[in-house]
Amino acid sequence: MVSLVIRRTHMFLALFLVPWVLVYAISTIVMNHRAERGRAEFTVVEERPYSVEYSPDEERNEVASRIMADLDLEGKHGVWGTLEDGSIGIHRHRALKDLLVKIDLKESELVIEESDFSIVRFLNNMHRRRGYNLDYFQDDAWSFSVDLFIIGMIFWALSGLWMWWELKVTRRWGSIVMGSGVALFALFLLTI
Amino acid sequence: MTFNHLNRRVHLYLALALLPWFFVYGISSLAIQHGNLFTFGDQKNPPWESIGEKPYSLDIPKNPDWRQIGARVLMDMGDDGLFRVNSRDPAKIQVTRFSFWSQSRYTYNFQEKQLAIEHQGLNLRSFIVWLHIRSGFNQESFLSDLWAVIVDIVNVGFVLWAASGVYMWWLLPAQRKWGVLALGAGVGSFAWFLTAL
Repeated sequence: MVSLVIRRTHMFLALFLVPWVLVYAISTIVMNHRAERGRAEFTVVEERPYSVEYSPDEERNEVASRIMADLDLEGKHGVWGTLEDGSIGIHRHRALKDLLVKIDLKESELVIEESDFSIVRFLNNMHRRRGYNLDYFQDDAWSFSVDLFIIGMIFWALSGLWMWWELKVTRRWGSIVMGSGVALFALFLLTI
Repeated sequence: MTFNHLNRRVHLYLALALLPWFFVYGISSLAIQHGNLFTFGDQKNPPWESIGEKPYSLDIPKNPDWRQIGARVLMDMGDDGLFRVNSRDPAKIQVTRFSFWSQSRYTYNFQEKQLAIEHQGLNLRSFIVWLHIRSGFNQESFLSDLWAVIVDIVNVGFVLWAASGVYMWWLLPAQRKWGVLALGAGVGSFAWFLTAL
């Protein structure tokens, strides 16, 4: 019964996490070969009057978060510019195409620019997205999925060992192959 | 030997051979995702300890090859091995000699003609994270290139495990319904992340 539960968990967890497996594997190959990420090209997708009211004691980041909520663009972002200078810009880091939201507070104007799509940038960004330090549900949910993937990896290794040991005919060759892998790894640790 | 049999054996033996990397990437991802998990005390990374400072002269050509200059600094200091060079500061060059266990940093100040030497031992967290981020074919070392080849093999392995795993699942008719649900839920959730993040 234990064996069956381990086998089924190994398989169903893997089936659920197939997209994560592919994204992490392909992005690591891309990063291992230092593929050029290139500079993102932005094009204007929206331009319209837009006024923002804010109190003098309000922080720039608070105003930016309020604007993003108002525009229905909440999520991971960075802010530049100052309220005193009368213009701020917000870089919304999205999974596929980033956005630049530029607000001229004095002229009450809004410009939204969207980046082009680059597979190398996409893979790099997805690989590096992590942590629970943002106040957005989607980012916390992503981090939870990353934790699930990590637990999955460790579980696949342990349950794989269990399943291998149950296959008596593969024990000898399995031991040789595993021993070779461990020896090679130890060589790396000692030499580089 | 049938294709099914071959598929199962490749799935198994490839995983057994790459088991150390599997554990390394699993455990190190935990350390990266949860910064304090493998940190004992206040510091995520151990401090750099100053070993000393000494007069040193280095001729920098007009269009310098910084890696070549970095190798020269290491040679002059009686050190060798894997290294990286930081030449972003126009006033100095920093050559860091690294291994999985420790780092030595040589900082040469062009105007003062002084070379500062520092050393950093790695703690558990930084050791684990180093194992995770070590990659690339940018060192003049066969073993370092071999490590990068293994990194590629591990990741090609991940794609193969996914493909061979899906194939093995499909050969179990009793599991197809629940498998389709699991696979669909995974693809659906991932698609949602692509639009929501």
